[in-house]
Amino acid sequence: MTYKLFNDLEGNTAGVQLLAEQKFIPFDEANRDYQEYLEWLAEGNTPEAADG
Amino acid sequence: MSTIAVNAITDANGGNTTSINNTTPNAYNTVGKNRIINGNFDFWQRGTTASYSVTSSQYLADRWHMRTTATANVTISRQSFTLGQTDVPNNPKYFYRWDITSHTSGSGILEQRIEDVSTFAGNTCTLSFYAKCNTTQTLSSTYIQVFGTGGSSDVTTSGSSFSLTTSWQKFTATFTLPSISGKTIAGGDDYLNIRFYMPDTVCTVDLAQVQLEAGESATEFEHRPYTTELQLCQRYYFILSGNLFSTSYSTASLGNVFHPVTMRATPTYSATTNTGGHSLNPQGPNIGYIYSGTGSTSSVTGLAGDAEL
Repeated sequence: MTYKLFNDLEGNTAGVQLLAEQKFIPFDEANRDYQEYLEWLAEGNTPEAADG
Repeated sequence: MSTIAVNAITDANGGNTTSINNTTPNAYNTVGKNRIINGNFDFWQRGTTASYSVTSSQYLADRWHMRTTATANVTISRQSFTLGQTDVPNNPKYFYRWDITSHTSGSGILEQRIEDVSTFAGNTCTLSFYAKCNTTQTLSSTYIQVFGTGGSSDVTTSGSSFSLTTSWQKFTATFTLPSISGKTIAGGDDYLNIRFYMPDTVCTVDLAQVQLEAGESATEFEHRPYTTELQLCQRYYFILSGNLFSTSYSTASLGNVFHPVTMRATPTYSATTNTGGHSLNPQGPNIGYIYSGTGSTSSVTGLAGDAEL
């Protein structure tokens, strides 16, 4: 499982993309996909950087 | 036309429980009494059949979460009632089929996560549904209060077991949920979980007209307007069938996305087809946008928003 950050129009980090499923996940604590991402981070993983 | 203006309507014995067309108005049979969404299995925005193997955690019928902790193969599908049948009353169109095609070990779970853990907390409520199986099997249930990320630990209330036969039967279970006094709710993702445990063997289970309501008895299944029920589903998941286009300007392109209803949380976006490589940016519970830094104007097809619990 690999995640990649993505930016909004202003170039700020807006969320994280789950690459295998092409899901765009917002940084919203109430979002269950975001909670899974946090668990993945807690395991010591690091997401790919957003496109410039 | 006449007008009746009175302070109370009483029955012949002097009580205030008079009935109208054989129904006694009370707090429990008003519109919205059924806390289960899509209990009639009318809405399948993600598709009407899918097969799963080993450990899965998926939504297919709207609002119905299926999970297998089993070495098993399961096919979920929407099935149609025969027109005019009377085994399940009031002409429902569809029922939910859980078909276990192979099984070695473990359990299958079908559940609905009802937003807000305070639902019926400290109160008595009644679960009712119709079910059958191609062989005589037992379906069991349990009810779990989930207090959200960072909240109190889950509280589980044991449920009933139901003996399924090859004919449709109506089953009911009345139970009292614990109070949430002294608990901590956090994270914005708390819910009451109504959970069914499927039989641990090869068989085909069918379910229809699932209802959870306040009170000590099961009343007639609530038929809400089609649009109302769909909008209730879309608070948790929507899909925009068709093409979504962005407008090109300079070297970029941008298109707004308006959600059909305000969602429970900012949703996760995905798309059936996104050949232009658009970034899909959910911005909040009711709006988002698609964006291409290369100016691609290829359409995004089947954009979906998921804010399920």
